[in-house]
Amino acid sequence: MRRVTVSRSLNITPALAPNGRSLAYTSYRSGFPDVVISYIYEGRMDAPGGGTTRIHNWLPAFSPDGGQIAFNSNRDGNIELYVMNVDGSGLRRLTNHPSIDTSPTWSPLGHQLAFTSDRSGSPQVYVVDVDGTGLRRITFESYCDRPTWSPAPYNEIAYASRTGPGFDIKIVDLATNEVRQVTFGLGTNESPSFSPNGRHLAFSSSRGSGNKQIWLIGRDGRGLTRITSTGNNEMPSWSR
Amino acid sequence: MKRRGPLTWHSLWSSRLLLGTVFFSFFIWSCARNPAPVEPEVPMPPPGAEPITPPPPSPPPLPEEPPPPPPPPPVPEDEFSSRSLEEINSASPLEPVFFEYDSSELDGLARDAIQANVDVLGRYASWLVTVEGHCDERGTPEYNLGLGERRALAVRDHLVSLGLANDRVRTVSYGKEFPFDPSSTPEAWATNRRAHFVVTAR
Repeated sequence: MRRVTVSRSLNITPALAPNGRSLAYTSYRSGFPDVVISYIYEGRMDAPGGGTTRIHNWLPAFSPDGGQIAFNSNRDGNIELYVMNVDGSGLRRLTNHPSIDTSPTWSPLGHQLAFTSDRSGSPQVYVVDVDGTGLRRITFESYCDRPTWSPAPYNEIAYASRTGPGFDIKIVDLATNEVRQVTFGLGTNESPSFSPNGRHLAFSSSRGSGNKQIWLIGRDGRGLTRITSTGNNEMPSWSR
Repeated sequence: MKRRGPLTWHSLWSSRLLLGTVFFSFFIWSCARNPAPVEPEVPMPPPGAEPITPPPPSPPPLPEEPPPPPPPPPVPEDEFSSRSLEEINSASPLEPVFFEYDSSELDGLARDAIQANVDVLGRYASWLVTVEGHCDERGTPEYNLGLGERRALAVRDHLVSLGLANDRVRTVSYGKEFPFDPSSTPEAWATNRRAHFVVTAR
């Protein structure tokens, strides 16, 4: 394990680029949340979203080819999803709704995105085409967030679903709309992230000590394994 | 230390007599050396000069005036003038705004708190503030970043609608990353669902 960020501010929601050579995350180093890309092996950083004290950007997600980033921004006065190239060019708004639209994740081919919106009154998972059309709701539960889209051959989206005081990880099959639960009520289980081959999920869980740690579990709910053990660790992200 | 013996009446009387004789001799000697001082001559004024007139008698003293009233207590405008930003924020001159679960709606109490803060910021016209949006621990960390942002923006918009200059207020969302009370109780959750005001310049 090695540390990537060194600023004394909050740095959260990491997203590794598919090639593993850069890391996008939400940084508060300037006093406001902004999407920062750290080019790990080149020793440089970039803030392509052009954040200011007025324009906040957060929760980046790399496209499958690594060329684009979907992220949250308040730049139009509301919390919407945007897409830009990794150099900051080609900015466009993906959603336009007074609700909270957040937690973007790309489909394996980059043609669609799944995200969370509370436009129905509670946070639920939706899917939209990358051009902003074709919106459809995927989950119908009390509170769902942080979708992660599995790579082929599985056409599934995993997400955190409130099942009691905390959350559990569930997976919906997009072809059949069938939902299956893979964690069951021990602590709270959040922020799932599909492995590159789609067979495993990394997620954070407070089971056991109460501290949040990173765990792995098979897409079939088997093979639960704890990855971290010190401090609190959450919001895992895989490289491809 | 050696202790002295008691003084007898005779020895005491002899000592005083000797001392008196010495003082008297010194007085006679001093008078012989210092004759009585002579008043110096006053020079005559040159011709044409104004004659020296004695100063007019001083007016009779006026009746004594009542003492001036004590200085008024420091007005509120001066209350924080000499304090650092850290001291100002420790004193919490601006009220937090609280929210219901998963809500950024401003109820009556929230609007009252914002109005009170606008009044304070009107008295301290140089202050800049940041409104921090916070959430309780029950939501997910990702969604709460958006919820905290929406809370902060709702408070900022209401501040501006009440007349506060737009460039005096900034916002930031910390989601559930910095709870004010880390307990997992309804009271702690209510405390943590807030927009918190921080004075960032004075």
